[in-house]
Amino acid sequence: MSELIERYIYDVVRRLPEKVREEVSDDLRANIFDMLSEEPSEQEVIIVLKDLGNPRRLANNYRGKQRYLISPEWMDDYLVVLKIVLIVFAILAAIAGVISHSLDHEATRVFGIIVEVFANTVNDVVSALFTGFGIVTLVFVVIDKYKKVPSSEFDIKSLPELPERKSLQISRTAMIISIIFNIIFGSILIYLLYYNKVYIGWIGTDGGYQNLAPLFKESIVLSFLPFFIISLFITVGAESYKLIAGQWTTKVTLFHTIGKIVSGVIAIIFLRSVDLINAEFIAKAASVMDLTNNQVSEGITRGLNIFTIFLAVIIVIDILSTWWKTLNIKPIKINK
Amino acid sequence: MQDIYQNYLVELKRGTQIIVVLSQLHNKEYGYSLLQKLVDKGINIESGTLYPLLRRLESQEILESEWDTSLNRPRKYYALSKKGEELYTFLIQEWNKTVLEVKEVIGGNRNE
Repeated sequence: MSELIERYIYDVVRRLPEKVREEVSDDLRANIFDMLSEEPSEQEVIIVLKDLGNPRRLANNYRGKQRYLISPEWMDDYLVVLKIVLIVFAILAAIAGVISHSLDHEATRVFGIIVEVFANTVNDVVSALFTGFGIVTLVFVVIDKYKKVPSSEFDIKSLPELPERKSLQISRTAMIISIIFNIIFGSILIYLLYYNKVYIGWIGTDGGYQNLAPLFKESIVLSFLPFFIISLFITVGAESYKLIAGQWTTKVTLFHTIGKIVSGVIAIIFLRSVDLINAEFIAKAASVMDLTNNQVSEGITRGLNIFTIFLAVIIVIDILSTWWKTLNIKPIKINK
Repeated sequence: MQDIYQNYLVELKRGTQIIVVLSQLHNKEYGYSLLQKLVDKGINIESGTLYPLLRRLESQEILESEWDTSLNRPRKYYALSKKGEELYTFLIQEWNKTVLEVKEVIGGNRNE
């Protein structure tokens, strides 16, 4: 039963600085034996040790002061920075992951490619999250160690501005969903275009699958590809910026506008380029539909024209309404 | 609700712990004898709190200690140092002041 006591003492002092361990051991041993009778039973020892309590807590009491990796004063800032850094890291890793994995994969079927790209990207995002967590925590541990927060002093000028009206707030959830969808579908589109795999096929009357020629002309698609990638980056960048800003300001709306215009203009120029549609596709479609090549080609061009006008109108409405919202609502004035 | 009561009670008593411990150390005591004395007087202090507290007070030179090795089991005795006596006198004065102040504040309203 003396062994039980020694084990208890060891469990307490191993948590303490080395130089006080022996002293605390002696203290504690003397105190424990004082609480026991001359020839204590095991039951008695157990009662006394239970009375002293959990060794972890007792060690804490001996140490005197609470210890923190990041002290409570810094906790708020830590959590805010952590949240932003994790979001940004995840987004960057997702973009970089999707792009690099979709250009360099082993699977050949579209489904296999999607699964492979998805799995690898998830892997990248998870390790980016751990890296972000590690970096932020480390930085805050250092800040906490060298910069103590004065309890009552503060810079009166550093008080934050009052938040703007609620209607100017940007929903974080909507932004995150938008970013994720943009990354996933943008990357898939870019991938499909890169390998010129945009086909339109349909089930023929005989039940057979009509494998038509690629829809777009390869040389045009490839020359547009860098612009599509830039467009995806700008769109995701603008959405991320909105996510971080959290509300519509002139700067945010400007960024949003640039993003919309750049991606819209690229899409419209692409859809209206001469000879966009693969000649082989037109020929095959014409033969399937019993039309002349010219009729098919004109029909497609008309359809694309209507679509581009529709696209342009939507973009213009979106930009105008956003600016109206941003500029028309004045910040709350505080009367003295 | 009972938990909240307990929390506030513990918080209220925590501040008086030092004064109570110091008051019993004009003559030398060892850890367990001090604990017994306090328990006999109805003061509820845990052994796991008292022993580390004694060590801390010693490191702040409020208590002096000596080992009695004449017994077959050595014992560590604590007593107030000169600094400790001064601190005790100071705390008693402040305690009396606090009691009066608090009574003044709460006394007029109700005496439940």
